[in-house]
Amino acid sequence: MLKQLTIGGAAAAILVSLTPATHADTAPPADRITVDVKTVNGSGCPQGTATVTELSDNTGFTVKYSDYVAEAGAGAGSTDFRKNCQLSLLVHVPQGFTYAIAQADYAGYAHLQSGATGLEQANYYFQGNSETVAVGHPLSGPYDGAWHNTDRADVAALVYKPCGVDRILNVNTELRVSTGDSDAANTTSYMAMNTTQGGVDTIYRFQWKRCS
Amino acid sequence: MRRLVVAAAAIVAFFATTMTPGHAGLPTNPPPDKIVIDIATVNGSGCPAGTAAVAVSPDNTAFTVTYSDYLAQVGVGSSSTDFRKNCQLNLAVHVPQGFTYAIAEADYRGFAHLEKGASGVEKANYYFQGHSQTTAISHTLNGAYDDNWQNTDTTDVAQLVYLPCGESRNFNINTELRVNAGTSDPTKTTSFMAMDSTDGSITTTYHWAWKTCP
Repeated sequence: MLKQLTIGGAAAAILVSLTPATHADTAPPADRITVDVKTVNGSGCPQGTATVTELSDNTGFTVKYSDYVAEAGAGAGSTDFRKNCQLSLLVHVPQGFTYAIAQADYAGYAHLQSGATGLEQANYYFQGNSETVAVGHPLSGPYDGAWHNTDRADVAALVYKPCGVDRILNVNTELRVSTGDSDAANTTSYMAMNTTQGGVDTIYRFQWKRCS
Repeated sequence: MRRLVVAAAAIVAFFATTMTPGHAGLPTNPPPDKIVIDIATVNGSGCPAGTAAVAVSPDNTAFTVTYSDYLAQVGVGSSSTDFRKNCQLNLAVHVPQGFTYAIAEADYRGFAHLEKGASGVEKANYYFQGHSQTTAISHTLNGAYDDNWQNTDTTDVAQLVYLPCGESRNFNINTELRVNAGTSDPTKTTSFMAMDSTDGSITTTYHWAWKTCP
């Protein structure tokens, strides 16, 4: 009755058919793309450990974490080397266009021994859609200091539903630490995320895709 | 950095290729209403109270459940019952008058670290409340493995939905994660499988074919 579905292979081939909007529109829409944080949850941000601040015009948000740390080596639990935190964002795309740029900034602190490595990765997907896009930023030890990564995405390319339909965009961030060649018995390496900032800027200088 | 355009490209590809097949002779106009779903309860050893969060789409055709503590493990640091965890989603499904045809899809995403010789299974049981018939789909991962994983199950709702048109009935999705140490050494290593999220959707707006209620 049920069967598995394989979509992967189709991705690259059809890029052409997706290439958005060759017909440019002159007047930008009055409305804006907005984003609401619906849920924040994951092993790196269990209930009560994350706070969300949203901009008053709903074009952006900040999530602050109090306990989002992945660690490996001495004193670390055997499953602590990977933590995740998933944001479910309700992205509202108004009728009549769209083109915009979404940006996410991830910031934190890392202490990696020589030989150890760390990874901050964000996995983006739309609810109800199998396709996942991962954007990763590796770090190599020795490292001891703040880190900051930025992902930018073409929202028009993400929006596949008919215009005017709201859909939840999931951003699943993760931190991974590997002890690698470092002395895992005597030293600890860790990577922490302090904040995630997301925003949608409605950019007018690009081409418009008009809803039909 | 990979551009997210790839995601949309695949989506178009998906609908263009997989979903295009026309069914000649069937009504061409889809019914105005849609099958809608709501999550009634979420519970299990992998998703005790306070560890799961639910985000339902505004039109109630899709949902995302995220977990903060859905992890099955064996080996160092594990207790004897940790090798299997489950989480049951109880969904209220409303099928409006006029049709009973749609495609349901579930996506499971997570991370696994499996030592060489160990294996992990993600399994989902689908069934309507009050019916003994269940459909199970499982996906196995074999170690050595150390990365994210993702599984997709799809189903034709017409085959599942044999309830009277216009009625609602609860639908259960019981997921589980299992890890087996196999030939790996559980006294020195740990193998685990974690689920980050479960997504479900019922697609009735992209119609292939419609079946009208009598």
